[in-house]
Amino acid sequence: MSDNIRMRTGKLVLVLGVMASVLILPATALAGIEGGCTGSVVIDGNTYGPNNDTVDNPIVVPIEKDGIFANWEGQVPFDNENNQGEIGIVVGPFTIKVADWGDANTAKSPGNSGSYSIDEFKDQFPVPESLIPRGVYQLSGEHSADGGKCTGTVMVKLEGSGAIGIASVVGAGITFLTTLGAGFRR
Amino acid sequence: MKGRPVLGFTNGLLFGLFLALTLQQFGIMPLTTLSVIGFPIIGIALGLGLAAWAPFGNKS
Repeated sequence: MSDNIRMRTGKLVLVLGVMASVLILPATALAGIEGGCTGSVVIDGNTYGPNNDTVDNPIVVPIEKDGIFANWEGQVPFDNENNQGEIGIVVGPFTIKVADWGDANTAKSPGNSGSYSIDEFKDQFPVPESLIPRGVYQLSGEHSADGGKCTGTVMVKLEGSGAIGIASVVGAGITFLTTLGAGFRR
Repeated sequence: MKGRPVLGFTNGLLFGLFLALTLQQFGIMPLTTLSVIGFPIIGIALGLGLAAWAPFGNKS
């Protein structure tokens, strides 16, 4: 190997090394839930809470299983009259709202609970189950009432292997190779 | 530039987007601002950098 080729290879490794270090950076924890609100959800026998806010410790939704329910409950530490809130999926700089709620709550109940069918969630997608995008999602939400406000972020992982994951790997591989093609002299 | 900047720009952009999607799909990183905006910018920089550097092919 000539010195020239060795030097070029070294520079390429340096560029890829810088890229790799940037990719590793995001493994940082998020804020969890702020404002004193508490809550939990039980999915497929596992209990999750505000601490499930990292990609290493997400709320796992087994999307390939049928008949699964998410049994949730939550409380606020303040006057909960005239409450409202919403939750959304974070996509880049935007948050796409997926649910909202509001209640006069004249009974002044400090909490609520319920059950959500994962099958109903899957039915909302107009595609076969194999094409539902898997992976990890950051959910961001807030709940406010007369007595205060809570904000929070949790991480949710739709578990399973889907066609979109395979297609994205193929796409990344092909576009990486074609990007390298920009380095060929004209 | 000695290489192919248009190819580097377009494919670097696409590589960044596919990389963000791949990391999200395999549970490594959600679709944050860094991944959705940052990775394509890094991809474009990589493509344009390679086009400017042009380490491959014969020197004329």
